[in-house]
Amino acid sequence: MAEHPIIAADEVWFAYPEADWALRDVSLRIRAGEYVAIIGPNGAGKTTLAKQFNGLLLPTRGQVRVLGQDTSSLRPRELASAVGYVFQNPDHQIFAATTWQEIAFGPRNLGLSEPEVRARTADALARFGLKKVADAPPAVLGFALRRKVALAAVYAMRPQALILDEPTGGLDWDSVSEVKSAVAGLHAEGHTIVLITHDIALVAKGPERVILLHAGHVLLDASPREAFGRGERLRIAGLVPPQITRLAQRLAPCGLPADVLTVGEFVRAYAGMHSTHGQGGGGVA
Amino acid sequence: MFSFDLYVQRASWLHRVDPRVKLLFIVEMTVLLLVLPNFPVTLGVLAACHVLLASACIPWTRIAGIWRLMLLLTLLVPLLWLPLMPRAEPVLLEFWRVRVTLPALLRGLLMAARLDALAFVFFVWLLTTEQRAIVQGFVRLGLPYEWGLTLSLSLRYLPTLHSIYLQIVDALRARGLDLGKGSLFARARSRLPILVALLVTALRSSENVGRALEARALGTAGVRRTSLHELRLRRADLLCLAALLLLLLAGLTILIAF
Repeated sequence: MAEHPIIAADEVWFAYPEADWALRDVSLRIRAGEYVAIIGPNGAGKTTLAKQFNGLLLPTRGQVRVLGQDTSSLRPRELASAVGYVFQNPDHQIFAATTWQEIAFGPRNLGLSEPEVRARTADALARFGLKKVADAPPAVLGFALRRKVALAAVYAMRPQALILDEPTGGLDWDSVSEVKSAVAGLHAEGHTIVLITHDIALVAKGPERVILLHAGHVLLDASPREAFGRGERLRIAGLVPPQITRLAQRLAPCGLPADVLTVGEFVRAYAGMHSTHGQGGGGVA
Repeated sequence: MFSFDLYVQRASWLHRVDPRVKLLFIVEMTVLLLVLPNFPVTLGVLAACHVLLASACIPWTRIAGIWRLMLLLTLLVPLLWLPLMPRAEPVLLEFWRVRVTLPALLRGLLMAARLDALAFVFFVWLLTTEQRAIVQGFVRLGLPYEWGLTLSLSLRYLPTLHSIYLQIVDALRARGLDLGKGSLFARARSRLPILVALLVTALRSSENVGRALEARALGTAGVRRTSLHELRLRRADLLCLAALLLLLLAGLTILIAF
């Protein structure tokens, strides 16, 4: 992983007009290639923080830098090629007559040559399995497809960092799996991923770092394994670790590791413990 | 969230007045201002509106806000009237081919005052009447219930639409859309994607709301609707009606006599 931060926030305070502070003294670094999840209850300031990263909102106090440049000196258009933002509701960005045009919109705004726009659009269509609907109006596609179109449209701009605001909200299990593997693929290719989510199970399976926000504060900034072990901090924000982690924590007195994140890890740990106990003539009740 | 509702919640006598009586007040004041274009009536209506707003405990900051809103119009109208009566006397100012006369200045000031008075008549209504009561008043005056509900839903969804609009603007700016560059035409054209996305979202929302209303049996044939809050004219409303009637008679007398 490269060492320089792609996004740096220093003592950021932010308030919407005629409202209380939405962000309070937030300082953090997101390094190139990191996969970070921002979690927290409704109104914690997750989206407000993420919008600081691409200049859609500017700090009331403090400073946000993207690739070393102060966001207050740049317009969102200038930051769009560095930080892509996929909004929670795909309908808020879909407007074009065809899916192809929708995806080509961003690259065109970047002033790329027509062959480059075509190449990126075709690549994004193929990557997200949208070739069949390339000529269809995106507004009439099903919700899962519209979400993919929104993701593909931002991906086509090839930003170094991708902010995904609740990318799995309202999707069925299959679609969630598709989105998860697409995001994992982007991360594997070196994209910085900032995931805003309520889906605690999603946090357990991909991100390498969790930032827990509560009432505009950073309550916790740790790896998922460490974060889920800090139940008292999660509870302050009204969150609980994934079910499988909680089960492992309950079984910890029986010898199971308490920092299990996934079902696979649980099964392996349980099998290991069972065989150890089996050899010793015992078992787990 | 930004609010399009001007209503200021208070427990004043004016807030309790039946919305139909307030509608009659608007109609009567509008008629008076249109048929009696003179300073006494105009300034009288303007003063009456301020007295009513003060008696309804509307904060002076809100009233000052309305004046700020009307300021441009109040200044612009007399200015536009200044050169429009060049043959009248006395002449106040003459330059190039423009003759500014006293009657033109007075006419301009009167027009501005009439517009302000008209606006304040409507603001008395909007600041002291809940949107629900406004629609209920219309329905009791004969507007079909479905139309009233549509009006009510439209008013209720204005702030939502505004919030969606802001989110669409953010989403498209994040994809490199630049709204502040180029000629007026170019800037208007750059807003086209926002309008399309807003329209699509609004249509989808309205379809959902329509289905939700149907699912709750709206429009079932042969059913007589009841209402939780029935509008009934109270003694205070009747007194207000009598006062309005007297005012109308006084206005008609002035009109006929002078």
